[in-house]
This record gives sequence, structure tokens and C-alpha cells, in this order.
Amino acid sequence: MNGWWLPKAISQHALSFDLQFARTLIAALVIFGVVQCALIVVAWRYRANRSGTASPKQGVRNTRAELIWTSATALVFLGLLFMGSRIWAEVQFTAAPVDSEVIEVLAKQFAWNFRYPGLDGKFGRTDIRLVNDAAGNPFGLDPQDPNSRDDIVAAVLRVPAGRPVKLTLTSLDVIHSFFVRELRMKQDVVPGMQIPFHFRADVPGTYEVPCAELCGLGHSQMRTTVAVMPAADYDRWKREQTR
Amino acid sequence: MRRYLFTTNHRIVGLQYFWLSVAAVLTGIILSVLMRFHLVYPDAKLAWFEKLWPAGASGGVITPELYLSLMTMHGTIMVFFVLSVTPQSAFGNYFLPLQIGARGMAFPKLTSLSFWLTALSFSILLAAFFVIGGPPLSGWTAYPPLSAVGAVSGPGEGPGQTLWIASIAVFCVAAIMGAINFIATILELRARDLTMMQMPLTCWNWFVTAVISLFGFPVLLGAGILLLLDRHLATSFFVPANLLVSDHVIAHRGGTPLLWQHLFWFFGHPEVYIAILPGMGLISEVIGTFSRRPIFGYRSMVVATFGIGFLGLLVWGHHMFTSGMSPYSSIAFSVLTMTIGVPSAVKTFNWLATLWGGRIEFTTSMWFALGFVSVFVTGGLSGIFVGQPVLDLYLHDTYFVVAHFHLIMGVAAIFGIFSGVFYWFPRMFGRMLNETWGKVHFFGTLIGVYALFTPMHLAGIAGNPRRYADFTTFSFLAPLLPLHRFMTWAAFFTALVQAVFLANLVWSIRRGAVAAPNPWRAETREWTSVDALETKAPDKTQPRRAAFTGLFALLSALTMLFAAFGSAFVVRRGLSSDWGRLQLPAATYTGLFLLVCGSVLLELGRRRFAQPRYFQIFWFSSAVLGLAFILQQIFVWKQLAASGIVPGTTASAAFFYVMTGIFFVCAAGGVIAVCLTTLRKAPVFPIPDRIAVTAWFWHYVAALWLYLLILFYLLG
Repeated sequence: MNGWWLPKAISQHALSFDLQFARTLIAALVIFGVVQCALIVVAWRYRANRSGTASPKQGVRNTRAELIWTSATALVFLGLLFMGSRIWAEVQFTAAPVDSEVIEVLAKQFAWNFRYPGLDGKFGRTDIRLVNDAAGNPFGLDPQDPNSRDDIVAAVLRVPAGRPVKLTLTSLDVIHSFFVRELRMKQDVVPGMQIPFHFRADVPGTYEVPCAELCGLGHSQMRTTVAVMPAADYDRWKREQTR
Repeated sequence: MRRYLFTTNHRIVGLQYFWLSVAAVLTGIILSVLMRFHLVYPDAKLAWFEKLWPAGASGGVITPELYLSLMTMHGTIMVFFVLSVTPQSAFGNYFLPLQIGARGMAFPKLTSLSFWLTALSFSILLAAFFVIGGPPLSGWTAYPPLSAVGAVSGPGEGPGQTLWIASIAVFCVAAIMGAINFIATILELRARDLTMMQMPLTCWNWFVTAVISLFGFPVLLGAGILLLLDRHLATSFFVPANLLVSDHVIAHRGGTPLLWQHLFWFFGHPEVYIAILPGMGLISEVIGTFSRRPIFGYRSMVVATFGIGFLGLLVWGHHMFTSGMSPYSSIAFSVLTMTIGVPSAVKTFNWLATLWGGRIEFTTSMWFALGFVSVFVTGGLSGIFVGQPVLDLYLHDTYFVVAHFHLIMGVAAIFGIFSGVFYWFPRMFGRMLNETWGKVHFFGTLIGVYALFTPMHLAGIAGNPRRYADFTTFSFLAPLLPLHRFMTWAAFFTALVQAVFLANLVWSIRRGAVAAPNPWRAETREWTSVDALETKAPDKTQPRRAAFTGLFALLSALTMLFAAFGSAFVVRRGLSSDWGRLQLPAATYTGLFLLVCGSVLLELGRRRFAQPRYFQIFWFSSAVLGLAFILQQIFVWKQLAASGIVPGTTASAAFFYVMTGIFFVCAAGGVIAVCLTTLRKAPVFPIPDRIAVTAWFWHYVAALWLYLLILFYLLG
């Protein structure tokens, strides 16, 4: 059925994820099949309509069988873990490349806001006392600060295809979670922390971003989108915004 | 009536727990049905619901906030009052003494007290339905800041959330009491001819469950206390600076939300095993009994139980892969998590091997045991997805996780409970449950839960976030609606099938076939030994070492509580600039002097316990010293408050108040214990053991004060 499985993969990491997911799924399905069948077969085969007496308490043991079973499971599980950890390390143990697009993400009940440093590459000063959604200032940008003049503030995220992007996630109130299914990644947005989140999306398109951490009564309506744009379009958009 | 309510008879207390959990599970099921209904028919108006609860469901509409409240209450009720209570407290209190040939639990009054505290805790939780704003909406995990800043963060976050925390705190105290009782009973009250390695596996699992409860619940209690202080005394343990919630500037500063998550999951993950281990023990016995075979690999079962319990205490971080915690620690937590698969696999293998070559009788109890194995494997296998950080980064907080934990923690544990009810019903009520209706109930439930939870994995794989009140905002959720509709109908079906069980239960208590003394031809003692205590009150004399074991368990729990505070202290101090060094008042040092002198006097008196006069003088003076400490501590707080230092002033002051506050309770308990022991008159003049237990508690309290002083002197 369409829409009942993993969505399109739009990054290298998403493809690695899909591979690891497939490996794990195969291992899980094989074990599932073997154990459930064994359960049914054993229960059926040794069914008794006649009665017997229970044998003495102290039990049967078969150390060899137990050892084989135990180490086989350990091997499968740890093998999967090892393969998965390599993918994890590729993304999580490396910092974002220095030439990444740097974008700030601000979450709050129940909206997402994004901020680009503009052409000067510097973010302006913010103060929560200046936060004013109605006036189009969700970040509380300080208009006195020269750096803040060309900051771009938007309610949807635009990123260039094929270029590394580094998001810095912060929250104004409670914990939220930034989830892009097509990137196969999510990251909690924790107030009081600035959490980096970097990726490189390759396939242009517009993808939905749900909030994935319970944040209050509007949790299920906290939606935005990420538009992965061809790099030239992105640059043009950014120039237009800055002007 | 009074004798029944406040009885110390372990069997009656077990039944009280049982009926409490029946009430809880019915409430929990009703909540889940309402939730599932709302998810697929979000705009429906339920006239009867409004009539039933006009304040909460006005217009008969389930609003998003009401949905989240129902969800929070469903989770809390099921996890605490069903999965923690039934297999451990209900079955354990009833059958543990019978299985080990004891005349009751080690501390009969404590048994009753822990039940009544649990009942109180349940009432406090239900009271949240009737306060302004209704029950909390922050989920059973209650992550701050959502749960910490009051009603500005959402309806239900006012008094509802406060009641929730209070309820959980009381529950923790009751659970710790229960754990102490179980540990002392198992270690000290076994019949003389029963060694540990001859105990039924049920007892081993109750034991390990009690041990991990003893480690886990104090930490949750500590976390709950800190959260209450954040809410009501303006401290900042969990709430960071510069928050703007619904246009309100929040005055807290410097706290860290992740601290709550660490403390919560340090309890929360072992909680999974608290729910499932007793069921594992029980179905091992059931499978053995109905296969007419000894349990395969008894010794490896015991080792696996300890392995699961021990590893279970070390894997809390796998709930936090997406939390912003260090990605390196994620790998460590993941390795430990996957390792749990090994003892779990050992158990599964042993169950299959026990069946192998047996003569299997398919009673309802046996069916549920086999069902347990099936759903345990199914639910466990989705664990190898979410146990890998890289996969969890996608699956976390989706319906995949909901399916995973419902199968392994919910359904598997519930199957264990059903297996136990069918197995032990004849022993509890003297009659048999109806087997035909039992099997109808089993197959209905089995089909129902697989129909409900199998498609739920698909929704999770599609990325469907959990804890969503409706699926109307996102276009990628639209194609999943048919799937959700199917799940909702499967949930209705499963809930309906439970009526079969309920009817069977009620009918069989009065009308069921009268049970033979050992209807299953089982071999454990609750069936085979003739119980001389059917009508008599339990024995009042405790075997001497039980008191010491109980004391040791109590001190372990206190140590865990203060370790939780201590680690929160260290984490919180390292994080921010608002720590604010606290000048310790001089009286805190004289406090140490008073306590240590008290300790010395207790020891001197103890040596002379044969001479009541001497003994009483020594002990009475140490009680006076303790009282002096208590008065002085009140003075210290007053002095601090007078100089403008209240809990909300700085983080170090907050820790000082909370740690000395809890210490104060311990010290007061010590003074009361010393007084009671001193004032005991002949002929029940205190036996040496009682004296020793009281003295050791006091020594511990003195040492605890020293720990606090060092902590605050070096780091405060």
C-alpha cells in the first residue's frame, strides 16, 4: 500500500538507513518465523489428551544447546549493532562541514521558525522580551544590532540540494522534536540547549516536518515543511530575501 | 469489615491489590477505547460522554487536550496500577509466602500499609479528573518544562499535574515498602528445607523485581520531589532560563530538562522489567506444570532473570537517543540494550525446550502462557530496531514504539496476569474459572491484539508520530487513516472480549465448579502443603534476621534516593552559572556533632541492654540529642530564610533545602524509633535485635548527614 512504508529517501544517510533497516527486518522476520513456528509445532506435536504425572522438580539441562543458542543470538544482535553504529558514527561523530549553510531553528508551542544569517553570515542579537509574532519577529531580533538587519526569518525551511546544511535547534518553551522522515532523522529541540543537526539532502522537493515530541495541546498541528531547492534557485531566493 | 480492611493477612492484602488492579484496568481500557475512537472519528459528538462527565467532555467532543489527558491517564494507570501492581503486589503478596512455606510476609503491617498507600495514590490520580483543567496532558513520562511551568503550558498542567506527581510519589513510597517486604520475606522466611535454588521461578522473579524496584522507585520519588519544587517553590532543577511560554516570561533559570529524563528513565526502564519479570516467572511454572516436565535449564533461568534485572538498570539511555544526549553514550547504551536480548533469548529457548517432549495440556492458563511467549518474541524483535540509535532516530516517538512497548510490556505482561488468574483462581477462590469461556477469551484477545498491533508497526514505519490527538494536519498521515480505522475496530473488539473474562470472573467466584485441592496437579507448595493458617492470623514473631534484611533494604532505598539527589546536584552544578555558592550555617556542623554523640550513646546503651535503667538513660539522652538536632535544623531553615535565601534563590540553596528536608524526615523517624524502643515496657522489653536495628538506622542517619556536609562543603 502506498504510504504504509518508509517514505522516499532523499539523502545518502537515508539510503544507508534503509539498508540497515532492511538487514534488521530480515533478521527479525527470520527469528520471528523460526520461533513462532517452533512454538506452534512443539505445542502441537507434544499435545497430550492423556494425563501424566509431573516429573521431579530439579531440571533438565543441556549446556551445549544453551551455549549455541545464546552465542548465536548475541552474534546476530551485536553484528546488527556494529553495522548500525558505523552509520550512526558517520553522521553523529562528525561535525558539520565548515562550508555548511547555517540555519537556526526555533520551536515553540506550536510553530516552527527558521532564521538565516543573510549575506553577512552573522546572526543578529535576540532577546525574548522582543519576541512578537504579530509584528513578524518570532525570534525577538534586536533591530538595533547591525547584524540582525539582513537576517532572514521564515516559517518554512528552505535548503539547497546537494550542499551540507547545519541547523541549530532551540526551543522557546517546551521540548519539541524536529523530524524529517525523508532524511530518516529526528532531533529533540530542548529549551536551554542549542543542538546541532546536520545533513545533506540531494533530492529536490517539499517534505513535511511534524513535531515528534509531545509539546502540548497543539502537538498534532505543529507542522512546517522543508523545501529542498536546486542550489541555483536557493541562492536566488536568498538574494531576493536579503535585498 | 474493619478486620477485612485493615487486615495484615497477606492473602487478603493480595486480594485487595487484585481488586484494585481490576478497577484500574477497567478504567485504563475505557480510556484507551475513547482514545482510539477519537483518533479516527475526531469530530464525533458523544452525547453519553457529556452526560457522564459534563465538566470534562463539554459538548461530548474530545478536544486535543482531552485526548492527551486521556492518554496520560491511560499510560499512568496501566503502567503503575495494573502492570506494577497485579503480577508483583497482588499475586506476590498472596502466593509468595505460600510458595516458600512462610506464615506470612516478613512485615505484615507494612504489607497492609503499602496496599493502602497504593489505594491512596490511585485516588489522588483519579482526583485529577475533577480539578480545574482536568488531568495532565504531558504523558506518563511528564517531561519538563511542559510539566514544570504550570497551567501556562496547557490545560491540565495546573492542579492536574500536581496531583499526578503527588500520586506517583505516594506510589513510589508504597512500592519501596513492598520491595523491602518481598526481599526480607524471600531471604529470611523460607521454610527450612527450601534453599534459594529450589524456589519456584516465580519467587526468583518476584525477588529480582523487588530488587530493581528498590533501586528504581527511590530515584523516581526523588525526581518527583524535585519536579514538585520546580512547580511550587520556584526552584530550577529542570527548567532552563529565558523561556517564553504562551507569552509568559518564565522566571526559572539554569535548569536542564534532560536531568528529568535521566532520572525518570533510570526508573522507567527497569519499570518495564518490573512489569514483565513476575509474568516470566509464572509462565515458566505454568509451562512446566502443563507440559508435565521439569523446567528446562532452571539454573540458566535464574541467571537470565538476574541478567535481565541487572542490565535493565543500565540501559535507560536508550529512551534518549534523540534527546540531545552525547551520541557516544548512545552507542554504550545501545550495546547494553542489545545484550539484554541474550538472557531474553535464553528464557525463550528454555520455554520451548520445556515444551519439547512434554505432554501438553491446553488449559486456558497454558494458552495464555504460550501466548505470552508468542507476543514476548514479537514485541522483543521490534526492540532490535529501536535499540539501534541509527534506526531509533527515525522510529523514536512513532507508532512503531507504541506497538513495541504495548506488545512486550503491555500485552505480554497482561497475558502473564491472565495465565496467573486462571492458574491460581482455584487457590484464591476455591472454585474453577470456566475453561470454555476462558479459551474464547484467550483466542479473542490473541487475535485482537495481533490485529491491533501488527498494523501499528506499519504506521510507525511510515513515520506516524505518536501522541497525536488527530491525523488531520499532515498529508502524509491521510493514507494511514484506513489502517488506523482498522486498528480502532480491533481495539474495540479486544476490549469487548475482555467482558467475557469479567463475566467469567464474577460468575465463577460464586457459581464456578468447586475446585479440587490441587486441580492442576502442580508441585509447588501453594498447592501441596496443607495450609494451617487458613483461618488463623499470621504469626507475629518475625524470625530474627528478617528485621536486619528489611533494614538493609530500607537503607539501600534511602541511599538510592540520596544518590539521585547527589547526581542531580553534580549535573546541575556543572551546567550553569546560577549555582551560587552557599555558605553553610555553622549549625549544620554542630548538627553532625549531635548526631554522632547520639550514635555513641546508642552504642553504649546497647551494650547494657540487660540493665533496663542504664539502657533507658543512654537511649533517652540520644533521643534528646536527636530532638535537639531537629529543632536546630528548623532554626537553620528559619535563619536562612530570614537572610533571604529560599529554595528558589539559587540552585545550591534549592538542593540544600530539599536534601536537608528529606534528611529531616529520616532523622525524625530515627528519633521516633529510638523513643519507641526505649519506652517499650517489660514483658515485651526490646529484644536485642530490635535495639540493634534501631541503632543501625541511627548510625546510617548520622553517616548520611556527614555525606551531605561533605557534598555541600566541597561542591555547594
